[in-house]
Amino acid sequence: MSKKRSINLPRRRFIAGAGAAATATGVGLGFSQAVNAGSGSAPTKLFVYLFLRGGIDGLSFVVPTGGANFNHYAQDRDATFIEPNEPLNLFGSQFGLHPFCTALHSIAPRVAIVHACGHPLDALTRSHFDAQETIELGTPGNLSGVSGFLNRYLQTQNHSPDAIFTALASSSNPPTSMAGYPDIATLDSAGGFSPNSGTFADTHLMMLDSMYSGTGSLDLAAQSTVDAVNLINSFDLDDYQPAGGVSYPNTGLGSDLALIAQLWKLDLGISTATVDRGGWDTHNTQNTLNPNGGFGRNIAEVSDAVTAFYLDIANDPVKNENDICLVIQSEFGRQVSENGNAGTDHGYADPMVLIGGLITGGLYGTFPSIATGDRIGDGVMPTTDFRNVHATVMDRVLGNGPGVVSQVFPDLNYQPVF
Amino acid sequence: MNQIESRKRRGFLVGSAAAVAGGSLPVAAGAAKPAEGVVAPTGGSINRLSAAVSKGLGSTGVIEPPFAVKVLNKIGFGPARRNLGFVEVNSDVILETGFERRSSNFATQDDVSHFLALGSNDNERLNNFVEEQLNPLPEDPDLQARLASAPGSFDTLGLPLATVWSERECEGFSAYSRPYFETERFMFNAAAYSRWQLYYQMVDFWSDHLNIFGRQDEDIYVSWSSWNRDVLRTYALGNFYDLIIASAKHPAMLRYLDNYVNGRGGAINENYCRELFELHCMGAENYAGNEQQFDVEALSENPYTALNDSDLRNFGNLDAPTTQIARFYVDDDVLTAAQSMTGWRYEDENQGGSCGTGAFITDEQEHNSDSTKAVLTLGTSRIPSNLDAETEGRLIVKLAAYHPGTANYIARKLCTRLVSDDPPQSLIDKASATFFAHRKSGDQIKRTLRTILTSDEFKASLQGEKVKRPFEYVVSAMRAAGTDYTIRMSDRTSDEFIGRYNNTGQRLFDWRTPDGYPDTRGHWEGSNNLVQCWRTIDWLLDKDYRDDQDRVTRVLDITLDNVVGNPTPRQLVEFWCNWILGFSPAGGWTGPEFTPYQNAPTAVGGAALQFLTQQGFGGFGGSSGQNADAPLQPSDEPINRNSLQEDNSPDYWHRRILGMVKVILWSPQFMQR
Repeated sequence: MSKKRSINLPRRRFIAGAGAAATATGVGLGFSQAVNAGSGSAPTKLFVYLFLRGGIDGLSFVVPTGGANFNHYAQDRDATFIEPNEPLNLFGSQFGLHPFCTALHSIAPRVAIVHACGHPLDALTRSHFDAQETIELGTPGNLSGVSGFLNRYLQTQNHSPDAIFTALASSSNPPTSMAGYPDIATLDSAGGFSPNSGTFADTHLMMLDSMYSGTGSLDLAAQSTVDAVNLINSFDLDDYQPAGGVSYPNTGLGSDLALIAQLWKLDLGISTATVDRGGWDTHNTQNTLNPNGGFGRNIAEVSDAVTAFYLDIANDPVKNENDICLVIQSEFGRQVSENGNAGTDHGYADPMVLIGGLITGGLYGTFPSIATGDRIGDGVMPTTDFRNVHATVMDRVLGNGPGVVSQVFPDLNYQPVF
Repeated sequence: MNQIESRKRRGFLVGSAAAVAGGSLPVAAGAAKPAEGVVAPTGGSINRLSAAVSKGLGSTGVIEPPFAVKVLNKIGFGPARRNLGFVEVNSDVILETGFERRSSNFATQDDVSHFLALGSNDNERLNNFVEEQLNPLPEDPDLQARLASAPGSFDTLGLPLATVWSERECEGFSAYSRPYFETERFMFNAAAYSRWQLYYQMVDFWSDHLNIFGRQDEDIYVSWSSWNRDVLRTYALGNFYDLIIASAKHPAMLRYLDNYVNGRGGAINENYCRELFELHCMGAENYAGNEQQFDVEALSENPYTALNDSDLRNFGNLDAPTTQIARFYVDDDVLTAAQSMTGWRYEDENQGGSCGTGAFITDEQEHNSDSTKAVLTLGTSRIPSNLDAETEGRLIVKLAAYHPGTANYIARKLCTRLVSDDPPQSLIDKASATFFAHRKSGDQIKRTLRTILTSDEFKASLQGEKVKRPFEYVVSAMRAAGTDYTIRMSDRTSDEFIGRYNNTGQRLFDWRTPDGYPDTRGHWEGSNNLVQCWRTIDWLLDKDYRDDQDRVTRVLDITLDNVVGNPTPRQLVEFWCNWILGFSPAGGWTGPEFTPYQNAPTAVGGAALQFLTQQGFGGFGGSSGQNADAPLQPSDEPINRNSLQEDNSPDYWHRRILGMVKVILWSPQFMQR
């Protein structure tokens, strides 16, 4: 006997009491506990945050091709050196994208590159873990917070009471940037996303729902999970056709971004999504120009995947590329001088990259001198506080206005990067 | 960053969160906070919701279990049920006496009854149990029988590193990866079937503490059985310095953190030394950033003086009472230490001929001992020049491992694993004191664990202060639900299990960065983690369930062996809640006969009963609103015993019982420890 599959389309459950519960369990919402449900139009913008974990060699991504800085770069690089005729020129400047970034270069008019981003000088760190945590908390120099900067951003958004997901982490685990947000859907892949799929699938889900009706953090997580299962099972996510014949690379990052695009097009209420790509901690044999491994392969994948994402939205008959901004960041750059193992050790500043329909392509911020004496610990000296880049995206690109910045980065002396 | 700020760094994160929580905690009206230091009740009959909320548990619906069950959940991977001799609640109603489990060759005594037999009160039992667990014997009958039942699956586990390496490192993937996959499968069997639960809990702990991404490359793959055995298992309960120095010299660690290429001049590579300080020993809580060495506060007395360590004495008078030692480490300590550890290598195929052996060696040509060096000595250069690579590196590891900051950091991590996401500072202090006082003892870690596990703070901790990580969760379900399968090599069922488990987000040895899988609940409460954990349980219970010989988990056998006559749904639920969760509260899980499922005294009992009876789903039929998956069975109406073994439409009794057991395993009561 077969039964018509019944879908309980999920309800919004985190709003009432979420602040209290999250506080009780030590997750803690920083502030702004009131979620402005139903108090205006729902957000129609999407913040996508791609974190390149491990500390990218920014000088191999946005490569100096001329001027004094090129000479300093050339002098201290050997195996990781890129000849000046190889990078893809950016806006007529003395910088170019890594030669494998042809896809990203093709959409350069919608790509902003902010030079030399990093922690403020009094909060520099070369620890992956400190750097990632303080970036994601949005509090350079202070690890004691419990609220991620995207959590605080999410709290400012007028999510519709009908929203199904508001925050999507395309990973197995919730990222620190969203720490404190009670309604994160973590979704690695759509296939097999249910506790079971057999005879008793429906009543099983209902029992999970009934057992986790409390207000602890695990209760809330399980409730979101049941919602997610119901939702995912109600859509055909395994057979996605991107718009305009775009194809995503057949990699983890490619499928993660494809899933975000797909869910965005389904109008579920998502305003923020995160995705990670590791593999940048290239202490040993960086393989800068190897298309089959190491840095070279990784940077090509990033370029192909983010470009596919942008074009998928831009070509969509309904969705508008002006409503999205994809932000690429790593925890720090590498040292200017190559190490003895054809690799590079932890440095400081590196570029951040923004992609979106409302972006005016160009190089922003200041690339400092990388003469030996001008470096800091042999790294590139940060000239832009990374928080100003996120703040500019939230304020100007996604149109939230400057008021949002004081809520997300209360201690920041906000200086828009464009 | 000044000194005060730096001290408030990562280590205080948990505490500050708790302080925030405490300040604005909405305690339910009329719910009194429990007295400080109250010992959890042994009756397990009180729903301590107020305590749960004030402790910040992950779910507000958890019932505090009896002391024995809590201890087994916290110290190891939860109780394994082998017989029900100890059960008293309702035992005359549903449980057969004189039960002997029929279907397994691997049965031993039930964990809970074993614990209860160790003394006449909780303190006595706990002390005896901890002593027993701290002194594991070579005999481990269940696990040994498991391993022996899968000949050929664990061959590299007992072979010397040199043998495995020389035969496999320069062969193809299937050759060099074998030690890794054997170890992965071994760890599942060990955690699920070993009698020495604390020991394997600690192996898992150190595996994260000294995390290495096991699939990085062939040198790490091939040395994995040695890494697990010669480092983690050898020193899991031993001396901390011994553990760290063994890890430092192991090819897997040399490779993973690049110390094997750390060399003279331009070849300096600080990766290992940074993590030696930040992750392995002192912790980020003792890192003062890029301060100058001479700006760091000195400890009030030299912590190395009492050690009577000949290295620290002979090389630079590092243990002299007048030598000033820094309270925190800074970047320059890391960079200088990296100079000291230049020239550390292992014998690989370039250097040893053929495949090499993986043995630790030094290359004095690459060792920089040109000048004296200052590490943790406020900028005063004390490490002499012209030391050989091994000696100088050893000195660095001693400075880090014996530092008081290390004692605090390790104590905090141990308490976080064994007690609570937010362990009491008083307990951390006690554990730290023991750890510090016994830095030279061969049983330093064992003593520290004893301090933690016999403390008042441990006794007062509650079930649910930890959310089980996926490995803990899946293994505890294997133990509780009667999984009867040896996870082995070259076996489709084992591969399926691993494949399913690997989606949970905690594939073994697969955390890429050196900080290891997180140990607090925030990380493990993602939708994907939860769904894939639940789905792995689904697989464990369903796999080959119709096959009397091959079924992976023996739910049907256990049911038939323990339940008399024609049981009612309520009796089945009461039995299985007791079996899985290790106890029954005074009023039972579902309440007395004829209690509607909605009025069951526990959420898990009510849900399991509703599921098994398929009540409250709008009926069965397929029309709109009829959401039941099978026909209704009243809660107190007996089910024909023979039907339990059948799996026919529309009742599907066999898979319905499996489904009911899954509900219990998916409950917040079982997801936490």
